[in-house]
Amino acid sequence: MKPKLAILFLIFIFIYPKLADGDDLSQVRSLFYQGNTHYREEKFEQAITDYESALSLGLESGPLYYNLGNAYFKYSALGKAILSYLRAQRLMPGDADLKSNLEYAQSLIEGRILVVSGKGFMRAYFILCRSFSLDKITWLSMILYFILSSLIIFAIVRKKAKKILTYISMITLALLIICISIFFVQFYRIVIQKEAIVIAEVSDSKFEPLDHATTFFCLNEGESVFVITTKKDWTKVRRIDGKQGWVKKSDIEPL
Amino acid sequence: MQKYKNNFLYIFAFWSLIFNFLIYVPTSFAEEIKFEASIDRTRVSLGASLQLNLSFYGAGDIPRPDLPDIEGFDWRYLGPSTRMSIINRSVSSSITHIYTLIPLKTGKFKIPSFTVQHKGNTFTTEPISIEVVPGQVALPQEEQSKKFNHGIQGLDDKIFLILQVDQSNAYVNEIIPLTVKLYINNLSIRDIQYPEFTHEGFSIDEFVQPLQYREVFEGISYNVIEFNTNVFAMRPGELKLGPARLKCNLVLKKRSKRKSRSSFFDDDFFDSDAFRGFFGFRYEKHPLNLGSIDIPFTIMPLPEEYMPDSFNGALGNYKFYLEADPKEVNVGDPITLKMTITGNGNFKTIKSPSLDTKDDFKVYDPEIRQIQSGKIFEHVLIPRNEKVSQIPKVSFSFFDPESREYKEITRGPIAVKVNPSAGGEELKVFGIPEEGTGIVRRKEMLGRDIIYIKDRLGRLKRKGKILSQNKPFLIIQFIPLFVIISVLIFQRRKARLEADIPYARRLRAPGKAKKNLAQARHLLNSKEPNKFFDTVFKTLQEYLGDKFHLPTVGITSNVIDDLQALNIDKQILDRLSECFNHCDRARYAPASITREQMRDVFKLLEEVIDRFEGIKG
Repeated sequence: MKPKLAILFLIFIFIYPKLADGDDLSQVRSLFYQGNTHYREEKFEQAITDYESALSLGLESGPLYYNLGNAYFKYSALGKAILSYLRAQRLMPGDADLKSNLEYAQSLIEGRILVVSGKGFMRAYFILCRSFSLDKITWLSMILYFILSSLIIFAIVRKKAKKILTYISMITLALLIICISIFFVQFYRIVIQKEAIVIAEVSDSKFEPLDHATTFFCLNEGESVFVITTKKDWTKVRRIDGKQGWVKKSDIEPL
Repeated sequence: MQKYKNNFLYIFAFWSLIFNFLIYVPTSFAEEIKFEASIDRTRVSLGASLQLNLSFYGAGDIPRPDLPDIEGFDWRYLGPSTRMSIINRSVSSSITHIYTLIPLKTGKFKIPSFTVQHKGNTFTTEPISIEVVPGQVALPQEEQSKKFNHGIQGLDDKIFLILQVDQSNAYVNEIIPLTVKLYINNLSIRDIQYPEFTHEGFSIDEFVQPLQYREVFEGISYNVIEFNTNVFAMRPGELKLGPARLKCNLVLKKRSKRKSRSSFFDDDFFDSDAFRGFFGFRYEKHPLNLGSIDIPFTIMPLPEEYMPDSFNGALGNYKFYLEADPKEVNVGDPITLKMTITGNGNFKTIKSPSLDTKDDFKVYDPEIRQIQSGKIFEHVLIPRNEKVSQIPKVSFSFFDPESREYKEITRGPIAVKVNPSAGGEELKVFGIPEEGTGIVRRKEMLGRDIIYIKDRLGRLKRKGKILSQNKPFLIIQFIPLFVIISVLIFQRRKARLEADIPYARRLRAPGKAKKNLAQARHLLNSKEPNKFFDTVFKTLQEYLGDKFHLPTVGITSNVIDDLQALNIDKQILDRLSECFNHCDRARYAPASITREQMRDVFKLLEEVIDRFEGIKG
């Protein structure tokens, strides 16, 4: 009786948050479809309001960010469009439409710095990493971990099949290590590394967090930066080429 | 993370220091020896004295040379001054023998050259001219004009600034190396800032790290700080560069009256502008604003004659390379065309050589990278159709100021192979037929825009929540581990039960006893005392047999003797004996057994088993 109760408890704690979101869910759905209708009617500003309202309810989805990105793009807010596409990419990294739109939007950034992440094997590895969302790779790692554990248990119990089970276990372990390394890369990229997008048309990056300080370099709308620290209304950022400077907090938005 | 970063930096800094020490220290010992004579001024009044320094650079152990008689002067040796300095990571040692020269008469004199022998080598100094004048010495007008008024009298010989260029005329965009030298003689100078100067019509680079060395200028030895940069003129005409200005602080030592002991900790002790030494000296900072003369330039326009069509303003002496990668693509795939320009000249003004691809390629704006002594332009070219067979030639031309002529370098064409689009993308369509020509292929211009919105909302999730930070999810990760440990324990126990029979019997004993006790309890209420006592006896036999690994069948009250040998509590054994006696009595006289007695025996049996369970087997 007790194990059954434990299973029921686990199912409950997994499903409970989803049940609690029931009301919000229907509201998000209606706002999403309303936003789509406004988009079709080319009322992009209203579409943006609908999508943003849906997101303000605390729920998110890849297509929601994707459509918001499109609406911002049509509304000529390149920075916000790229920001939304990148947020969508974290939830649906394999989506071809999203990839195309993001590439096109990024190609419109003025003075864009092209970054090639690694060469040869490392480049292929980073591309592989980016094709998994964080949750997807977490699930995959967990499944492999459970399979490996089951194989170990079988190997303990069925001693006759130990050899074949060891081979299968080694393959599963290798896959698990690859998945865990991808997980850490993605975890670092998404959770630890604080990426932000320039949403102002042009943002001056200064040597000091002062209005009259000398401008070191300029950031264009849509450019990606990494947040180092924040001080009142100013944020210290690092550009992809390594240059660091202080920009107005309102000029950028974290991913 | 920061902690590891810092640790890494410390390790890196430590190894850098060790490396630098190993690389640079041995080379510093192989320094060349230089011998120089210098004086502290070139004009001196009769009755005053001047200082003559004989300096050996690169050696610190050379004894003082004996001076010959010097015409017009008497001399006296003051002593040596040794010095060890590390400039730009090279260690140098020097010794200066200091003499005082006292003029004996007015006129122009020449201090002759001195010769010294050291380790088989002969070193000779340059002669120095000195003018001895009657009365106070005044600085010549010319010298004063070149030096800037810095507000402190008598410093003109001690510190000044010189702006130097190697040429007075140049072409527009031609790189002109520029040097600003700060000469310091026996002064303590702090907070030296980078020079600034007026450069209308010129573009100026940032100054590189300044050099520091000693130089004898007009017979006087100076510490020189040299700032180097490059400038180039942006328009033709008569232009002026400078005057250069430089800000620094002069630190002067002044003897001051010592204040009372209590004032030692007064605020002015910590004053940033003036602070007091422990021996009654007071150091004062005086800001100096030094300046140089300006330099006129004639900037010539580039000749119009023979100017190539591809000329785009580049000036210098360059090499030009052209590469394309990959050389085989599908229609619509990008080819990177890399144009590399290396050499000497003004890279700032170099623009990408023009690329005439007609309509064969879509050409994107180049990505520009400045490398050391070079510039790279990377164009992305996208072939529009599979008929494209080459990237056309590219010409780069520049004006060489040395040979005063234009030069043109042409590279290419580069052969490329373009395959039809892999995805079957139609790049060509059948257009509207023109009159009399039938069906004509017309090139289609592909548009580009974003792909339309999505109709489905997709899977919703809580914002900012990630699975790997979900507590129940993390707890579940322990389940396999728990199961593996449980299986391992179970397997071990199973193996022991199979291998260790006494252990297995001992483990089974209480379970079996419990079952037999239940049966006995059931018989307690029946009217068959024989069966009850048989069960009690059987329970004792089986329990003791299993517990102490004895043959069950042979167990009777005699077993108590064997158990005594195992040091079991006598009280327990007495109770066991009592239990066996009851069983024996009941067998021989069953009619005399009451139900009360049966209950007592049952309780006794329970107690015995219970107490045996308390004993470790």
